[in-house]
Amino acid sequence: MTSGVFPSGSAVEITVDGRVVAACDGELLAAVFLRLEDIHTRTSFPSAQPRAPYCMMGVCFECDVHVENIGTIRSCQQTVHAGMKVERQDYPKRLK
Amino acid sequence: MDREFEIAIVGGGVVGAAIGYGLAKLGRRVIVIDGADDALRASRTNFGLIWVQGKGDECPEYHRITRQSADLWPAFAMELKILTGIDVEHRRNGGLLFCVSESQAEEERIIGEKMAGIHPDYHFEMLDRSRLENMLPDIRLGPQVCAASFSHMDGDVNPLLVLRALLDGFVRLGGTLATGENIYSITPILGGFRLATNALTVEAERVIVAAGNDSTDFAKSLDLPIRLVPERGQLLITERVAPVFSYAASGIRQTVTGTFQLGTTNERVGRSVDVTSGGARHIANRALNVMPDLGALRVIRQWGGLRVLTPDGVPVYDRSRRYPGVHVVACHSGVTLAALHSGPFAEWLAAGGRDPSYAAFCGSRFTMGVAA
Repeated sequence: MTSGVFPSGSAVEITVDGRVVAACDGELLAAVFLRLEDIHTRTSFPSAQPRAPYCMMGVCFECDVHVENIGTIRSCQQTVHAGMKVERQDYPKRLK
Repeated sequence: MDREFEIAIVGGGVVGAAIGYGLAKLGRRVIVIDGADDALRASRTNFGLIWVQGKGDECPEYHRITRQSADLWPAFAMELKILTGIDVEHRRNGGLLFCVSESQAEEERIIGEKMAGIHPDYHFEMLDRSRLENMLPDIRLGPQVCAASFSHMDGDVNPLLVLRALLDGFVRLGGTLATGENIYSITPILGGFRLATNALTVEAERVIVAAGNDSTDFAKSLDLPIRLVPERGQLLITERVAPVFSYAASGIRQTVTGTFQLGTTNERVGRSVDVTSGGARHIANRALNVMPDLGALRVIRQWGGLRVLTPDGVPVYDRSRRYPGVHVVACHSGVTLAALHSGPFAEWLAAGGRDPSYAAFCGSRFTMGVAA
């Protein structure tokens, strides 16, 4: 039903930093970000530069985001499902 | 005679690049010939410590050059930044060797006191748990951590940026860099040597073999006094977290950009650079004994590399007995020693490399007599 690359799945909604965003079931999470007006996925530490999906094949780690119940993942390696709660990594995670 | 190059360096890792950088800075006509992507490339798997504590406990001269290089590093990092624009993230905040048992703490204290007895300017102190907790307010220590040996002599760098800065600086200083070349022969010719690779033929008056574990490929044909016992070390790399640990430490380093690097293993497995689940378990257990909260971090990479180790762990700086124009350099601590290699050691080589300054590092200790 879904190829994982082309947005051919059924329409679903996810949230990015609490805002509702339209997506297709089974598409790559990074692809959702690339359709947003603000495509950035994380803020680099310590340079404070915004970063966005770049290599799209799991190598560069620029598209890291936080997904509820999963943790930190590369959004180019993650498919979308209805109700997914995603947060940009604008602040470094804490060790404890 | 007038060859195109005075010196050809075989190997463009952190050792060959540092020596090339230093020789180019002295105005020598130098070519660095780096291997292809299938080379072992220990420099690209390095942990990044500039470690002095306990180094050379069986060889005072090794300790002396280690300390010399660590002391040269701050100015060297600045020099690389000015020349290349690359900040190699050098820090000299001191190093911690965590102890998870009283007997381990006692061993470290004995080594430290022995070193301090030999080297008057050696610094170390044993910190008990409460002092460690004061030093590391953002870290919860594992219950077994009872002490650490601390020395302000130790520090760290980003080893990949060091390699990049050395090679970039070498070229800026007028050096010639050839990459992706497998050298298949080094032949003596009148007044020098001819090096043949898959793509080029280079002639140089002198040759420096600094090809890491692959240096032994030339040991027989060039009569190099060298013996190596490669040792695999695996690393785990975590996701980035806010900086809480800016010290160098045994097996734990948080990079300037937040990643925790966790090490390591010491394995004799021939030339395999594979990673194993057993290696991961060993590394994780060791790290979690010290900082249990690391257990909640995602591991994003695991890699293995082969340490360039001589049988006694001390570097080899020597020449071929048959061809005095061929030098061989092999050492484990290429990052720690990079400031030495690009400075005083390159000056020594430029002057001919014949005076006995580095006699303690002759390779014949392995290739002649009972020591072999």
